[in-house]
Amino acid sequence: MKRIFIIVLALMTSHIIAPIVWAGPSEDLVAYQKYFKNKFPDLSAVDLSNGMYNFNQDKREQWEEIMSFPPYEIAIDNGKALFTTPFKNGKTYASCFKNGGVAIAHTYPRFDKKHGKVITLAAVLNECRVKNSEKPLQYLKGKLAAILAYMADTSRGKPISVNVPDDPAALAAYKDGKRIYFTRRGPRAFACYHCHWEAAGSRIRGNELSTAVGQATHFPTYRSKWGGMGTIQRRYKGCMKNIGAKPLKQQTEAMNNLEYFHTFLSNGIPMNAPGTRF
Amino acid sequence: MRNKISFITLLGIVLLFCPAIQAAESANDVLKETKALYKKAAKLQGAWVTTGKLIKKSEAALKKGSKAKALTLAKKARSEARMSIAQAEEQARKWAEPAYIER
Amino acid sequence: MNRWRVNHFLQSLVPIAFCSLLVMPVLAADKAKTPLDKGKATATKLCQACHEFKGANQAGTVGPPFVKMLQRFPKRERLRDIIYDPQKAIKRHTMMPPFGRHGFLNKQETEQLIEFLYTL
Repeated sequence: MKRIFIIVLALMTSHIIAPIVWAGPSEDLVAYQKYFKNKFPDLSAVDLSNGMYNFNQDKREQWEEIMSFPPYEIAIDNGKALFTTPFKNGKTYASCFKNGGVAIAHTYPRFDKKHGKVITLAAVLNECRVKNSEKPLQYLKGKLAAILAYMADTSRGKPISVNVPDDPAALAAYKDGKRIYFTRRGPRAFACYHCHWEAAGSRIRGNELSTAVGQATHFPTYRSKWGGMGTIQRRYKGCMKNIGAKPLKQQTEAMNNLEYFHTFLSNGIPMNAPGTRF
Repeated sequence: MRNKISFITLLGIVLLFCPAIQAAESANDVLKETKALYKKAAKLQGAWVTTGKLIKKSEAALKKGSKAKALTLAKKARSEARMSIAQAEEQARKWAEPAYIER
Repeated sequence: MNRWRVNHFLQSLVPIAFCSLLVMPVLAADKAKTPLDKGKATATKLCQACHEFKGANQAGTVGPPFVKMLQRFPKRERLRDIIYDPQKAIKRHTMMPPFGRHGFLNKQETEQLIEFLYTL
């Protein structure tokens, strides 16, 4: 009787204490990526970054045909030209980045300790412009997306490396992004994970659903629906609207925290951006 | 005199329950309330796209003079705004990673 | 009955008649659809995104297919509960939307949908 009582008490305690004692981002990552490894044992990390094209042979073949002349290449060329053209004051974007902005895109978003918040590569580009007396560019698409396409291309093949430092504000931002990701929204009460975790690989209406792990690797991306390039936050907004939720505003704390958590999910997976989706 | 009072009283009672006469003031009241609720829902990051559309449709109906239609739409928007707030508040307390994640 | 009472009564009828005309709903003749047709239309609009069923042309595979429904759900109440709020009726983490609780379907539309589901 006493033994049973101890066992029951131990079980109850572990169920109560385990959720309270949160392990941290690294432990989250292991658990989350393990889930997708188990669900799709035949898909490699690189495969995961190809998303829905793992789950529909017809669409994959069409996509592979498109990829023989990738529609994002124009954006890369334009982006490079914009990146390397000096501002009116003679300085360039390269002056605002380590390594001149080459092969750093895979390390964003970052936690800015000085300002105590997450900062996206898009925001750093605009900060650079303002610092050099230029007007900021519109987020989500256009010239900014083209510059991001160029910068991402210089990181192609490098593993996504979003760092969540052991800092209370960084952990709070990570947790906020996690909260947003796992929160139901819209009249259909969908959270991001509903489509891209348990339902990944299945079809909703006419489209197979991509896995959460791997998604962030191919942004910015060219989408046929857009007829052009778009950033990851452009896609978040579109997705939120699709499920009937009023989209969060780009480059707000909430949206940046979401990007922080969501990109973190793909840590270790090679960047494969810019990408193409039709 | 008594006839007039009775008639006016009866007319008043009838008009009180006559939706078409009520509608102009009520649609405005409901819209005002709904917009405040919609703003609250947005602040909670939980507003619904359809709520915003219903508010706009109600306002458009009111401009056209379709008072009853404006009221129906406004009430539907209000109901949605309330549901969206309830969802956002519940989720703020109860969001969680899925149970099937093994640690 | 004296004249003033008759006149009084007739006078009071005027606003009643007027408001009655205004409040009377326009009974549009719903020519096209039987309840079963309506149920099928609902299933096509709201359910086939995730559930396959006979007659669906762009069905999803997220949810289980609608087959042997009467056999699997002999109690109508069970289907009502699932459609109204699957987070309570199935499981807390379900991705199935709360079609009843969130106002997609009223009671009549739910019954019509169930009628259709029972033909599958």
